[in-house]
Amino acid sequence: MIDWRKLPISSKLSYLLTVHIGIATLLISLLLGIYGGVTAYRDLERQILGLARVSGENCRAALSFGDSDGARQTLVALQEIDSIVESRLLDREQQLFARQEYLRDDEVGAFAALVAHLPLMQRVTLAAPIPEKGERPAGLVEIDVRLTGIWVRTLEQVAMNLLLAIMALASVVLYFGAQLRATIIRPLLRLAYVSHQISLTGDYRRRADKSSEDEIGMLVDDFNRMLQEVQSRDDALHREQQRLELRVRERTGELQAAKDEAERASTAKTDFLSRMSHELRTPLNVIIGFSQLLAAARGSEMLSPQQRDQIEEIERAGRHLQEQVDEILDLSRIEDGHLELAIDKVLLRPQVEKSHTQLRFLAEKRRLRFELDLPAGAAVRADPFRLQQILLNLLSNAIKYNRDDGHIRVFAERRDDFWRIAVEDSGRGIPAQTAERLFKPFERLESAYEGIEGSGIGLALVKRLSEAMGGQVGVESLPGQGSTFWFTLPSATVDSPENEKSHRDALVSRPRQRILYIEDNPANRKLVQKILAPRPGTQLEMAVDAAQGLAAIARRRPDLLLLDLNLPDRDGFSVLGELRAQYGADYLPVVAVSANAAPHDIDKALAAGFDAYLTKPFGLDEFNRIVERFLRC
Amino acid sequence: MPVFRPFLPVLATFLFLLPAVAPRADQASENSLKAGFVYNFAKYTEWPSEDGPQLVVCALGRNALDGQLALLHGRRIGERQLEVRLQAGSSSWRHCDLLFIAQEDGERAAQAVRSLVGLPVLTVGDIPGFALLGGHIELREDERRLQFEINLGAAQRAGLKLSSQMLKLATRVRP
Repeated sequence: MIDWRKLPISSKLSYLLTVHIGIATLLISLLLGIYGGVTAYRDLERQILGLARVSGENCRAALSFGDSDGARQTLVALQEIDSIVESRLLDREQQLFARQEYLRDDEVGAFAALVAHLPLMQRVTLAAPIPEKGERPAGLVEIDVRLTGIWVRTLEQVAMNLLLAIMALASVVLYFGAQLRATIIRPLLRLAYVSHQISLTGDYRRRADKSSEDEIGMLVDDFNRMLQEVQSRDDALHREQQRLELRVRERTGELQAAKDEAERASTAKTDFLSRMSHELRTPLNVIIGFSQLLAAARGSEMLSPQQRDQIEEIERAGRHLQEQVDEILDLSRIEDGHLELAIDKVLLRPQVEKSHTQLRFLAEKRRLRFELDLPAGAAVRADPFRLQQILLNLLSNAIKYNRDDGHIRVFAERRDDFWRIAVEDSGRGIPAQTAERLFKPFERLESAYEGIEGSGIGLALVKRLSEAMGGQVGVESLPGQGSTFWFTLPSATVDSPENEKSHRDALVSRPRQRILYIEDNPANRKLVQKILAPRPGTQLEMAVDAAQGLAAIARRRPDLLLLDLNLPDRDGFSVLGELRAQYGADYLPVVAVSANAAPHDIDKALAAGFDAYLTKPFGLDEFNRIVERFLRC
Repeated sequence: MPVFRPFLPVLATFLFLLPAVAPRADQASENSLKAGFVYNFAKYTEWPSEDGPQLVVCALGRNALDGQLALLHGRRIGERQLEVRLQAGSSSWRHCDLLFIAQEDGERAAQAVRSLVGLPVLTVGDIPGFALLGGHIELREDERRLQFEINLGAAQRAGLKLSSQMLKLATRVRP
């Protein structure tokens, strides 16, 4: 079955044309056939009736004389008319007077034979009276006529008409179809082809060809206008896109430039800090070291109390300065992401006590009561040095911003997997709206006007450090009542204090261990010598340059090497390289000693294979920690 | 004739229904048939002048065809009405349109024919050899059928025009 909807338009039109013209021609053929048949019948009827009348006239006398033979003789003449099958003469009383049958051949041909068997009116009887003047008709001539011939000719005519009509129809359909194809279908197909191509390629610059000014021409015009519209929108879109890309590129460039600028500034800052710390630390190292030595030197008891105070004042100011420098460095290290943390299990109570001890002098000066409320086994996971920094900051703030005869309370609470350590003071408190600003660097609130010293970076450092160790900081304050600064750290389980103690005892009973210090600066050599003098388990050996140092190592392996990075004959990195190459990576621990405190200097040294990095000026504690770290094991 | 009217259909039936081939039952029916033939002869004959409303049919005897001929009286042929005159004398013959001579009057047949030569009087004789004698139409019975013979030459000389149809029906037409 044909799917009408899927047919091409030309086929649809051809079908419609064929059906309509076909029906029309069929009807016309039938009408013509019927008309022809009727006309033929009328002619036949007229002919036969005429013959009947003539025959009747000729039979009149025979009828009069009762001569049926004569009448039949007259009727015999009708033999000549092929369609007459039988004729009869009836007398005045309608009685049969004479009768003549005619032998007829059948109509020739298969078609005629077929027609003869069709249920059609094959015979008709025509009758003509023999008129008698003034009386009823003298008789009646009846003639039986066979209609097969008429039927055959009529049907033949119909068939012929149909044949002609079909031929005419076919040529009309073909011609009209061709015309249709040329004037309607082909332009439409071209339009469809162009539209299809455009939908495939997306090339909106194509245009459909216009070949006429009729509706299809209008369609083509509209289509082209639509394409024009699409193309112009496309172009606009494209231009906009390009403009955006350009802007993005510009912006990216600007951002890149800004980033480069920022990085340059950052590098410059880091370099500056590194240089500054170096420049500041070297003299500080000397100041602090020698003031300590001066106070501890043999015969120092000869100094007057006033002199002793002055020496202490020198050391105290030096240390304060050193702390400030360290804090600035730490802050910049944290901000650059270069802070190194040595996370360990740390017991809280000893840490707090140690910090308090360091600050006890200041607290006692203001007659502050110190309360400690810590569970004995409370321990956190933290870098002990950094934890100490946090505690010192918070405690020194609590001392600084307290009132005389006030109190300081340190307490800790377990919250899930964290310890919350809080430092409560009895100072003036802080308004809630300014509390947030406290933890930003260089924000000192109105304390700047109170003559209280401080750089304003302490709390910022606390915040950064506790966050770096996985904790948080905060403040709760009631103005006039005091403030509570708190921080949290992840909790940890630690060995019991007894274990800790026995561990330390074991360390003390070790045999003497050898330390080699390669350093060209005699002040530093003297300082280290003095620091290590009170440690009975150690033996210090010195070298003034790389060659001397390497020779000492070659003579006997030391347990620890302190190596200045800026030696007169070689730099520390090449010395390390030679050692590692000659003796292997695990032969002895090497600690770099340098006034370069910038994070990238430290990283560089550690990456090169130094086991630790000691920045000058170093305090006693810092130095001792390094020494203990490597000589412990 | 109003008196005859009811009988006309009967007569006509009598005349025409009898098939020509059927055997005649008796003399009466034969005479009746002969009378019918005479009527038809008049019908298929044209006279040179057909004046007057009557067509005169004369007979020599007084009881021609057992009275059957007289029954034709009053019948019409076209516009004209038949008038039957019986026992017509020789002087009145020339005034007849048709003269019927029956068998019993055979001896006078020659005389009648001779006296009427060239006159427009149709002579019909129920006499064998009548046509040979010069009569116009001779009735005869062949094979038990009533037939007739025509002497066309004599009729033409008398100025009578006989219908070709009738001629066609004649057993013999003499020139």
